[in-house]
Amino acid sequence: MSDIVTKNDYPELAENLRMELRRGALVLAVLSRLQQEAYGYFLKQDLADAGLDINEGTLYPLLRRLESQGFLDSEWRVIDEARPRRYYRISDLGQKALKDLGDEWQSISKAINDIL
Amino acid sequence: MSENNLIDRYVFEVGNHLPRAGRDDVQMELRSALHDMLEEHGLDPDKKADEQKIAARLKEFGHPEKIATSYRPSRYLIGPQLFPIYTSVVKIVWGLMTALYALGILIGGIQGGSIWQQIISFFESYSHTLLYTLGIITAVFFALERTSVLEKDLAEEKEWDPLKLPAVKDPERIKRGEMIVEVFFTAAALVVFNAFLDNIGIPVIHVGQPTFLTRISDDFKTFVPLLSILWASELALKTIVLVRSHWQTWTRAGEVVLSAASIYLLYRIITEATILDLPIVDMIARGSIWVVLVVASIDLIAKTFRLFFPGRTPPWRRASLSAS
Repeated sequence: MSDIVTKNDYPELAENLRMELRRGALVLAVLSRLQQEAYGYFLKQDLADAGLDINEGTLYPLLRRLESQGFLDSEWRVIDEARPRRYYRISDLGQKALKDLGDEWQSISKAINDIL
Repeated sequence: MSENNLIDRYVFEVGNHLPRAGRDDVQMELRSALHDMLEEHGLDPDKKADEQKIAARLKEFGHPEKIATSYRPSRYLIGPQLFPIYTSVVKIVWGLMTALYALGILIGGIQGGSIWQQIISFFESYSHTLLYTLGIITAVFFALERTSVLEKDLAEEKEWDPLKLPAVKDPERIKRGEMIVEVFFTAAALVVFNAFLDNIGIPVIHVGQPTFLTRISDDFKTFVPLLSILWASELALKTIVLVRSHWQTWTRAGEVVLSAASIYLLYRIITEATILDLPIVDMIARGSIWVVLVVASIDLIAKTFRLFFPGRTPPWRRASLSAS
């Protein structure tokens, strides 16, 4: 460990590395789960049940970013008058990205497993 | 100010750190998500007894500034931490500059220049100085954004307390008492200047008889019809706002137009007319109107800001609120 990185800094740096590692995988997971439409909180619970716990502060901005990039479609629905919900689902472009990313994931996963 | 629950305050605070474009949408989704979360944990944001538990959940959810950061693109000129301070500084500097320039054109007018020449040169000089000043402010904030000065503050986010979030400010809710006083005085001015115009002046007792030391001049009287139209319009506008209890965009716009018209009329009165017949008293009255004119100009800037930037809590107010 260099002089710059102290023991106190390590937990934060390790967390950053973990986040970086998860970031790409989260996109893949979200695209895959949104083949069936869902609102944000339901998706969060769904991913948590599948073993991928994701913070709201990460999930919601990610959903908006994927939508603005054309990978997701969304619409507001008023089921409970006091609480409208935004429902997301994968777009055609998202389906294409999901297939490409899925292939890439399999390839990387195999390679990393071999390396580790 | 209305009572706001913790969710309202949290969502409002996140919005404070976001640009206007898309802010409403983000806030709506955030509110919906937070209510889902509370529902799952059996918490009610309007129940005082649940406040501590909700605060703990919000703390888990994340600091409002951090949430706002995650909604913004990763590359920005000025980030969410500095963004509210930056916009406040821009507004203050812009306001001060506009007031100084307005004062400049009025003084220029009194020195004998044509009002139109003054207005053209005002806009030329004003736009150049404004762009230059905004450029410097932006450059300073950009430099701050790129330094490590802010890292310490971000590290302190772990210590934040959701219970200390400032209340949501409703900028469009009127202060009823203040508005009633304004309506009363506007109506009084309208009545006095139309029904008792010949009796306005400084009364004295001369040889046992009541008389006037000086009265409103004939010059001034020529402005009374214009003043009356202005006051009647103000009366109508303020009555509508009073009845509706809220400012709306069109009433705010009307307020700005009427304020600008008042300033213009006051300017014409002090440059074109004698106000009172006795010179020394006229001079005092004129001086007073100059003061009113400066105050009204500053007020006009504030009203224009309210119209274009409907209230966001300035950083210094948030600091004092969280300290209390």
